[in-house]
Amino acid sequence: MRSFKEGIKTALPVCIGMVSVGISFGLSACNAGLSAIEATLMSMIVVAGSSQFFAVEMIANGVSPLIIIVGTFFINLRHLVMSTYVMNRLKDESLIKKLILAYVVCDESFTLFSLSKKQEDYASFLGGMNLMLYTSWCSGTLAGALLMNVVSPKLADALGIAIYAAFISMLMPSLKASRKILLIVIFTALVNVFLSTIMGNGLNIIISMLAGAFFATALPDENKGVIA
Amino acid sequence: MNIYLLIFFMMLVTYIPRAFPALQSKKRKLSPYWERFLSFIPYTALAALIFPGILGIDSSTPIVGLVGGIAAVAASLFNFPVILVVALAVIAEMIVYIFI
Repeated sequence: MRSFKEGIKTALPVCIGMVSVGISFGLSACNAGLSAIEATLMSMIVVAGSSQFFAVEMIANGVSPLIIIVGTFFINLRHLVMSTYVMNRLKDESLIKKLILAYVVCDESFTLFSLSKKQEDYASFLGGMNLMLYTSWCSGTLAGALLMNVVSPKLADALGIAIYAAFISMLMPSLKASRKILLIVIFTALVNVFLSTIMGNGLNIIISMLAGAFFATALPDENKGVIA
Repeated sequence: MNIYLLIFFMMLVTYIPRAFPALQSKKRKLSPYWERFLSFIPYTALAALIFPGILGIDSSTPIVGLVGGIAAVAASLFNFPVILVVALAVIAEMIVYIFI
């Protein structure tokens, strides 16, 4: 129970980012012609932001559903790596618990989980975190879809920065503490800038993050402890 | 295709990679190399998700994302909590939109 509460507390700061992006998604989805119910159901069932943004943009452009499904697979393939990491910490949990927790493995839950300090009950901790993130994402989507006609488009656009601001704020403490992490982050960003010109829609993100991690693994360790 | 069918298949192709590691045998132990490799993924994933995606939040004007990003970096340097960093970045964006 303590770990569950700890999970809720850990997720709280990121939730505002999730709600904000959820609102942006709700607005984009309704712009693309989805109803509020369809947009919210997509968030509740798929639970993968970037692929959902990709999907509604493709729907708006009349792209074939097969392309959307294949694109979604590639965009979300990085969750395989993330889930391997998460499941490694949940080794001793029951299969059903792991399969439920796997449903909400996403960039945010994974990052919070992997950067968190040691917990006595990782499954409850992740459960609390995922519950908060999932609720924020879905309610944000519904709010965005319903607010579609109320919020000025300029404010909706401004909210697009929210998730990036949250990502930056999660990354900065490590960047300040470790030159090596700084180097790895710059390397990965540059690789991704290059790759995003020749491929896109998530594939560049998968390859960049893997290339960055290979690069990092090949580098010698710092004498000062690396935050990991 | 029906939108609900599309949502279902999107869920399927998303959930399979998420669930696969859970189905692996319980005693699975990664080698130190892969443990180390995976420990760097959070940083590289964040890096790849932020850049250059942040420049595309307003596809016609990359400066919008840039200003928001700089605001977020500046706020983070002061060790502000995430909520405040997000709020300041959004405010910075709204100011940018007043000027462009």
